[in-house]
Amino acid sequence: MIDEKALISRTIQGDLQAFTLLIKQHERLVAHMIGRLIKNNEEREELCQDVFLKVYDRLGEFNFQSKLSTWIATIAYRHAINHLRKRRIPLDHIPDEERFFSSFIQDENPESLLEDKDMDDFILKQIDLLPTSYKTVLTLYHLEGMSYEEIGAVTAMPEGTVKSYLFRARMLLKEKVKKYIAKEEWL
Amino acid sequence: MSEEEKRLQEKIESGVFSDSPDERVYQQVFNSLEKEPVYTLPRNFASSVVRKIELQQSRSLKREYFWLVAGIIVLLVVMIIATALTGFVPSAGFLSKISGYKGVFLFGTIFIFLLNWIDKKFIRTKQTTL
Repeated sequence: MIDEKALISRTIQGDLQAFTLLIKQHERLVAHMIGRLIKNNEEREELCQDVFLKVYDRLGEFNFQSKLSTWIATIAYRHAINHLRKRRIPLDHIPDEERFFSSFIQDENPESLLEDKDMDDFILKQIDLLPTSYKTVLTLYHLEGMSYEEIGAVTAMPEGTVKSYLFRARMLLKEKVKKYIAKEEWL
Repeated sequence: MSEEEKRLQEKIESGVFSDSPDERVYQQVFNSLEKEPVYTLPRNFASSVVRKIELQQSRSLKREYFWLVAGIIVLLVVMIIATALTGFVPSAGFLSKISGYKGVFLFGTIFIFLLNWIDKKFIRTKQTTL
């Protein structure tokens, strides 16, 4: 396997085959980030392509201070956020946490309860309903295995905030699942 | 968020947990969080990105050639107009004054090309491999 430094160096010199390998190594990460934050299926692939075009243009600026995956995730995160802002899609800031917590847990959609084939589907749908920052933190931590520090670097959030969002998001999901289970038992 | 919730989550992460209802639900949540999302990119994704880059590069090359040709044309037009307006007659007489310094000019030209070659061959390559 060719090492990452060599691939970066070859890509900077204009070797597109090397860049193809870099894309293949990181496309899963970008798809996870964009897939979680952007709901429109048609826009997702184009946004993923834009992320890699940016990576290609800016690769010369990469200074090896972080992992390449963290650097690419940062580009993907900022690109998704900018896209949401341009489209005037609310970024789900959490102005009143207590109120958001109770509305999230109380919010019921009986159709979705019946539609979900299994618990995984149900939980994935609930993740989509969480605020952007919660979704990002959950994705980077659980799917990409990033540390709190790395997530902080990607999202420009302090480590304490990352940790707190992660714990809260999981607690919200747990409460929602508990409610789902109670409902199923009742039905 | 309560300390109890934090403690429960940390227990699940460390893999040591009992069979309480909350812990079972947390276990379910953690398992689902690690599952791959439904959205995946098409198999030819990398090649379509590369195609886009190639397209951009060819467009940018065409644009550069356009500006180069346009620049030369504008320069020639300006030169012709300036010559016509001022009545300037071209003469190479000034070259006779510097003919005594042929060696200096030759050295200068070779030196510039050599510096350029060293820069391309060694300095830029070194920077990109860092």
